[in-house]
Amino acid sequence: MVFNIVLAANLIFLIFFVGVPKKLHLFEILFCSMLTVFLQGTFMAIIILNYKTIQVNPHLFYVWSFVFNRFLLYPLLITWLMDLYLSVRSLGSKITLTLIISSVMVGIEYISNWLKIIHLAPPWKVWWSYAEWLLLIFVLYLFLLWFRKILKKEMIIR
Amino acid sequence: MNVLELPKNFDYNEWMIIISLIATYTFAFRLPKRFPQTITILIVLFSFSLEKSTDLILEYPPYTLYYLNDSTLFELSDFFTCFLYPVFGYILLHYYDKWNIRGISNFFFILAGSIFGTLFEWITVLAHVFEYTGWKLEYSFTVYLLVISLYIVFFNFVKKFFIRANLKNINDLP
Repeated sequence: MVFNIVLAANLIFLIFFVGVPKKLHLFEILFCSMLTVFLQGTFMAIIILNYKTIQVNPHLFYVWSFVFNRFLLYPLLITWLMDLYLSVRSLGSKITLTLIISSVMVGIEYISNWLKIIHLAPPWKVWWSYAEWLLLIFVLYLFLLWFRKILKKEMIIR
Repeated sequence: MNVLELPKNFDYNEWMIIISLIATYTFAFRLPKRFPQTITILIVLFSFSLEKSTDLILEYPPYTLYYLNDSTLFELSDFFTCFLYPVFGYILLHYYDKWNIRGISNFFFILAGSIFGTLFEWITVLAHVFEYTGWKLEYSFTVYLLVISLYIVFFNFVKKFFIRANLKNINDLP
């Protein structure tokens, strides 16, 4: 049941993401999603293996629910945020969008905890989740700015 | 506890990682530049994300089918180990493109790449870079067949779109 909910949520967002008009180039989408997987993969290694503050439920379907969220839902959400950044001009709007999307991701983390997909073990705190996602978004944004320069230089985007 | 654990003993596995990194990166940087920066960056990121995905499923709890280096903790040497994957991917695709592999040659190229990958992994197992706790070397051969095929599909996809986007923008110039 839990896996079905997670899979449905992932597919609904994937279909939405594919359909929604985007300003990002295909290469930027690939760049953002793959870099998100790498950065959060490294972060997860530290948190799961060293600090053990996030524990994954060993049941097969829960593991796959965790994998789907980490490798599909979160990268797509962050990539969508990067796309939204291109649509808004003011810093205030960008900060608002960042707070909304990071709150959604923190919410998904806590729903996963409630659904027993993961166990957020003490001393895990809500602000750790916010710090995790805000830092990732900030680093990704800086890398994206650098990558856009290369795309412009190589005449992929203008 | 440190964010990244330091190696318990600086022995075979650490030396294996250092020597492999120096050898592969020296080799890769000495190769004539073949791809635009965009394609190189995407290949590197594809390798990193593939490596992290497989590690998250197979290495981390609950399964822990293998671990890297001295312990099941995430060590500094584990972090450096992940830099071996992109350089292998890059060298592999460099020769794939240079030799203009097409048709049945794909089969032999993927097979040769998988055999090489499995042999290299066997050496790393001997050097205790990989410690199997349920994984077997023969499984790796199957994974390499899949991973190298994915590399080729991804590379052809990116290359096609690069040429298309590049030509479009050049033609649109006033």
